[in-house]
Amino acid sequence: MHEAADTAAHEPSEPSEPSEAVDAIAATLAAFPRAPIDRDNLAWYEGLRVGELRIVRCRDCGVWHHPPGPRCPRCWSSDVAAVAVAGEGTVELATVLHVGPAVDGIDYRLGHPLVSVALDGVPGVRVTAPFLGTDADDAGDVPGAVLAGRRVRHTVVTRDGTPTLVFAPIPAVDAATGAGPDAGSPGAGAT
Amino acid sequence: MGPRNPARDAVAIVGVGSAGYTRDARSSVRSLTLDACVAAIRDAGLGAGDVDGICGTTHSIAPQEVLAGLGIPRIGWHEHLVVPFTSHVIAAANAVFAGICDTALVYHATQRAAGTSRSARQDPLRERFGTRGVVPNPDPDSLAGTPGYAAWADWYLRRHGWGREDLALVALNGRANAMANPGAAMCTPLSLDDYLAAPMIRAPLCLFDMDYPVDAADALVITTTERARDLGPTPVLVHAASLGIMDPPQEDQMVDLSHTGLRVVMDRLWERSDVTLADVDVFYPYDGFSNIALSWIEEAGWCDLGEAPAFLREHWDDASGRVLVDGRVPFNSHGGSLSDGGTQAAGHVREAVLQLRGEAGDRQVSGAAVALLCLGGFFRNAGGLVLRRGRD
Repeated sequence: MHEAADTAAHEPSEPSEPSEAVDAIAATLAAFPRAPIDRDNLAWYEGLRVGELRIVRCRDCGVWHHPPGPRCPRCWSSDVAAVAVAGEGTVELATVLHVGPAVDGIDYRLGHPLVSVALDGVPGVRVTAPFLGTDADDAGDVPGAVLAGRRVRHTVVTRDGTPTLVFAPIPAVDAATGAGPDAGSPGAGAT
Repeated sequence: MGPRNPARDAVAIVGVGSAGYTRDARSSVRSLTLDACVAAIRDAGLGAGDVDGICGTTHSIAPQEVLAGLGIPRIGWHEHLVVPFTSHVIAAANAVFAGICDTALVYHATQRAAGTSRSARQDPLRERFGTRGVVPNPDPDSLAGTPGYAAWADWYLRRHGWGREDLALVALNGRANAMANPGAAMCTPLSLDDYLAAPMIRAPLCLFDMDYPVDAADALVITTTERARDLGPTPVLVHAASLGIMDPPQEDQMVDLSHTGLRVVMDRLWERSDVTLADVDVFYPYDGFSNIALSWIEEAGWCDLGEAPAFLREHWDDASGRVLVDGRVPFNSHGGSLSDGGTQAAGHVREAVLQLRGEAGDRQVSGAAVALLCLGGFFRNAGGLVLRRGRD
């Protein structure tokens, strides 16, 4: 009995994954052909596929953690779940890359700005993504001097055929105080 | 349980060898590795049959390839570990101390990968060879790996009100030291104007803030301090060691620059050491990216957090264009990763050994007896070594 099929036939029967879940996994794998997707980060990619930013939260102690993992690093509970969040926050770290892996849709000559954002209502984690609407000339030699503290909102764009998380400046008109420093910035109208 | 260090001064570096650092050795990583290993074993006055442990970096060839290449008959201990080179020195010292082996050969080699420069890309053999153990992060939108250092350099400059001309001090110091090191790969003068005119790579880090890719190899022979007494070279004792990581270690999750592996390393290194900063004669802050060196200077205790540029200026020796603390202690006396060449801390260890043996030529620090090596970076690979001269 060394044939694989025979071995499988003699395994105790496990409840099979619901067909809609299997379909969702297939769709996510197809949407992100180069991403290192596994069971721990599947919800992150599924979220991006449908335009959501999902962060893992412990259902026992309430602590958020990122990047996604299977167990709460605070209380060690394995009852954790990815939760869709509003995706607004404040830039804390910034750099502009002038070299990097070749990807259609990134022109490193213009600079590829990355920001790490502290999300409102999601304490203790940052999420990193490209910053939309600012190139190297805008950001200067110390990009954080321009970008840190900026209010941003997550959005998902298509780049090289793949859903890609980016952060866009929140237009100044959204701010309760009226016109702010972001007014008229190149990325203000981006979606 | 209090800090333990039963291995203090019990293990010694008794051989050191280098393949030389060049832009293009027209050689293989195997050849570079074996050159350095032969030099180190001969330096110790030993032969192939004396080596019974081998530990190398995954940038280089595997232990069994070194064994086969040098006809080392049989070994009882081997490891093939990722860089930086701190891990390999510590692993070998531990194996010798524990008695798993008696005499360990430790090595690192690196070759400029196709892609690190236009000339490297034009070398068809280099192209075929690929990047060996070095796998760049394929995600263009992540701070993981090298972009993380740029983002924290940016944070450092903003937080403390410094600019590029302050970051430049690390590169200028390294180059001035390299100009006194005939083995360094980059020895032409570097001015502040040159630095400020350099292309930005990952803002705020420019070309001169990033280690200089080279073809290079270094090797050491490590044995017991007892056995070292019967060998020719001045033994260099492994006095204390530490490898540190602090949670959270991810590049974009780290709390701030007072919560790095550097802090863990220094706390534990000083707890396990009989010497203090005042005893240090030569200091090696890792400078794979220039801002790492600034943080090491601060965490080692030379000055407060955020004050490294002011400290460097205060102790700057205008005549030689480099830092000399109290007119005496150089930082990265060989030129460091930025100018000696980027070898993932192997060059720093080699230079410390040469200085403690009194064999550093024109750049020798008179009477150097204690070296502090602060190696690796913020997130996952910080390490420290205190090495001492073992014979007066």
